[in-house]
Amino acid sequence: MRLSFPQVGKPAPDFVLMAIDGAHVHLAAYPKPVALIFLRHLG
Amino acid sequence: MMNVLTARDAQLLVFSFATEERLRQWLPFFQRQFLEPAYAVRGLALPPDPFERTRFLADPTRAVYHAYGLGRNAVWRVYGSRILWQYATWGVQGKPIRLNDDALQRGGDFVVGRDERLTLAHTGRDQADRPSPKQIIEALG
Repeated sequence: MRLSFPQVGKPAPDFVLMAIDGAHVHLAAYPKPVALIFLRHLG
Repeated sequence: MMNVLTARDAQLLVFSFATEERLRQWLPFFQRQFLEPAYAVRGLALPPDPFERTRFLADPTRAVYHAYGLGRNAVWRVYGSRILWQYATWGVQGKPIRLNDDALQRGGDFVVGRDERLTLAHTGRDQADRPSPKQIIEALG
């Protein structure tokens, strides 16, 4: 699978996910600024 | 970090490719083993709700990881000298190291500005390569 990294200055890829607190998170509608931290495996 | 987020009216979204249940179980472990010591070593009190501006999201299909270009790393990158050094440091500090997930999955750090565009995109050369807190704060504006 070829994946491409989004670049600084470009629109952030949108997504919809359910948070573990039950909140419906839609990036396009989420307050900004927002940092997105993608974890590796859980320690 | 809480003060920094509050001052900028910023939010934090933390993703894991683990299941929702596993992520939920991991949070108290993370707070006890990593967050509380990090505040203590700086002489700071843990805020009453350290996750007030943070949401945790499980992405077991990795669809969002992939949308941000985060696939799996090569084995030689995952177990390079820097990550082995980090594990050794954690070991000395008494922090447990549990490798029961996919250790090859890449992590990454991004900041989305008020105009919906990325102000930080950091995927790292290897598993230990993360942006500094200062870089993230600057990107938050």
